[in-house]
Amino acid sequence: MVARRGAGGARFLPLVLLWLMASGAFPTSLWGQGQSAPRLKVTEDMAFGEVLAGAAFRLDPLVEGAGAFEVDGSGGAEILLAFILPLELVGPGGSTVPISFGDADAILTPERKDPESGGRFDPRVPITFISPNNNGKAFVWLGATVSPGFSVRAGEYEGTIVIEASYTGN
Amino acid sequence: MRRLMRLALVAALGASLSMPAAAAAQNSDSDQIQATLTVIQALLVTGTQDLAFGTVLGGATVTIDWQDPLAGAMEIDAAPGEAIDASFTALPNVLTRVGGTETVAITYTAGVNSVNDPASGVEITDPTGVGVAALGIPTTGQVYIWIGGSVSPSASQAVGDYEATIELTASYTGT
Repeated sequence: MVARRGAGGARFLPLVLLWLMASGAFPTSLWGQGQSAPRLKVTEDMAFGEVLAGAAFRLDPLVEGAGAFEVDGSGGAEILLAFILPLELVGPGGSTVPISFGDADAILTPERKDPESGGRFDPRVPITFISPNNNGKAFVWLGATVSPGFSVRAGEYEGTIVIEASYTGN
Repeated sequence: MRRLMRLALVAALGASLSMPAAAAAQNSDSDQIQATLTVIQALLVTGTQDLAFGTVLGGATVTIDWQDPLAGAMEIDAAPGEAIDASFTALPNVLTRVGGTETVAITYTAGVNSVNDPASGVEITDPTGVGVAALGIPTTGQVYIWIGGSVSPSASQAVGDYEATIELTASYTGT
């Protein structure tokens, strides 16, 4: 009788275990990561404005027109930030303008939205940083250089920069 | 023992199916920044015809009006609808003998038009400064400027070829 009860309880154990796993009841170390995803919020698109054909123009991340976004993560968690950067902007009739990124074209500041106090980094290379403990926020500004050729068609050009943020698990 | 094995198998299966999906869904986020640029056509100034007085006798005065076919001509190619400014950054008041130092005084007249037709152009009252007011906003992107002049070599003027360089500089006003 006792043995039969035990066998009946064990029958439901797999289901109980699966429910526990799905509900997040296991320690985070078992899941690998227990935090919610770091959240990205673009606050400014990158706007070069008007540039003369034949003249290269660098948009510094400190100046108006630089792209900007926020990363909202779990305090103390390490976040990996990576970009997929375009090589050119596309304009009228498929005409293109080269766009390039340099080793000081991005700025990151933890906690405070103050680019002047931030550290510069190369957006071509993924970086990691620790999400601040007090508010979990980090702010990023992005610049670049465009080089329209002298004979490039006049008009509006655009391109897309993809940002990816993920926890490293550290 | 058999039940325990089954339990372990189910648990492992559950973990292998659930954990990666959960981790992938929770661990990353992505967003996009749009980069935009407006390319403005570069300004191009081209001298299309020299101002050539030809052979002038000493003591005589020769004048070439800006509407004369012999007048000097320049063309500005710009972005349509963009206001531009231009000025003669070099407009010498003498021609200098080639290989010498003797000079002949020269005075100028000038005119402008948005089409390549001096006959319907407008005279620039002060050729030393063409000015944005004279050029306006070229809707077609082209501006044509003609320059004439008057020379009066003296009767004792040293014979030879006399020349000078006239330079026009144009820029967008940004307004």
